[in-house]
Amino acid sequence: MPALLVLSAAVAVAFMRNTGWVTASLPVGLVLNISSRRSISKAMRAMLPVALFVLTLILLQWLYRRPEPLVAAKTLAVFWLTTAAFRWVPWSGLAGAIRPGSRASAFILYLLFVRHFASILVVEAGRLLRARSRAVQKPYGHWAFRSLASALVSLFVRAATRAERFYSALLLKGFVE
Amino acid sequence: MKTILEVTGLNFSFERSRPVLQNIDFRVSEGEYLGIVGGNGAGKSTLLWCLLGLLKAAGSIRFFGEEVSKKALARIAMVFQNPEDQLFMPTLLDDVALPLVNRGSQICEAQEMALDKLGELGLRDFAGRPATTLSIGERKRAAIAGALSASPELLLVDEPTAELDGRPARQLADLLAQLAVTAIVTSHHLDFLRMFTSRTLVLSKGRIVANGPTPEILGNQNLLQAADLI
Repeated sequence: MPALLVLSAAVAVAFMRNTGWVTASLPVGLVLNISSRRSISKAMRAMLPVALFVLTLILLQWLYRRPEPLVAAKTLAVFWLTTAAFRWVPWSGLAGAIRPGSRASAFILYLLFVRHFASILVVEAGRLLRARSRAVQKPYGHWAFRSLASALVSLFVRAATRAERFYSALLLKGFVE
Repeated sequence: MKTILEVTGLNFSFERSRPVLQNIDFRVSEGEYLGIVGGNGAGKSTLLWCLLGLLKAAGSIRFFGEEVSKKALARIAMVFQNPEDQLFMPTLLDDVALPLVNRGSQICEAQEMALDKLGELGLRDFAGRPATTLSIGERKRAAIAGALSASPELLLVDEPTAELDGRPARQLADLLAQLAVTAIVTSHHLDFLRMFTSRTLVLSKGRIVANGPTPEILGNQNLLQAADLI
């Protein structure tokens, strides 16, 4: 139940237009996210990629002279809330709640697919970035950035390939259109 | 024996200039174990994806006399090279039961059948565990259990020995030999196929270069050398 509430809050934040409400959701999301993890340092480390993403977003908006701080704030709040919610979902008991043909089942299966695919992406990204860090000597410079860009492109290609296989597995398990 | 699968004039390419499969013709009879061997990039996995109808190929693929469609997938099962792609539920029991639930079985009935299937493959004790906590050999067996749970008429197995060393590979071959299904198994592990297939196709650069009884094909050193298998 707490997971569902937090997930609903994340969806609500994604559609909010009121700056005050979005701003208020930031500290709430941060606190919930930290409390869903075992330690503050782990929570901080996990936030690094999304923080980089948001900074890049702000930079691009600033370069194109179209500042949209609400988008960056929403990205952070939704990320914090959804990752906290996903940690609180009682995954092992979820599959038992599946009733063929019901709407709730479709939602549960959707959650399970998202979780599985997210875990595949995290593992793939980890492998790729570890391999890159072993190969690149300096953390900055032309080759460091070029290899990072190539690694990210490669991650998208891998994600697409895995998504195709995952889709095939779903078809084989009886999810025929 | 009754023909289950008939493939005629199958051609497939990702890019026009580089055909992956060319003029593939073969048949599979009921109860037969067909091995497909070929080096890396020979087109083995692509052929399986084409058989499932998930890659659109030119030519004809007839399953029980009818063109393969997405609806035919209910009668075909596949074990992927990487079992992670098909084991995504919180527990093994859920993974194996899901195809049955999707096809209309009641949850309790599906779970009982899934438990039986896991038992047949020696995984009953792992039923409550997620696939991520199992060894690669156990995960492969779990993927086979999931594929077999809906009693398919044809089982496709893609590179089952990938990442397995000698003993688990032998155990997997023994297990596959005991299954009462029609199966197509791709591999470049010749000893593995020798243990349970009755007929073998050799794929090289997207073409079938030999098709015959397994002992005859796998005993032909010149043929295997020409197909980059030894």
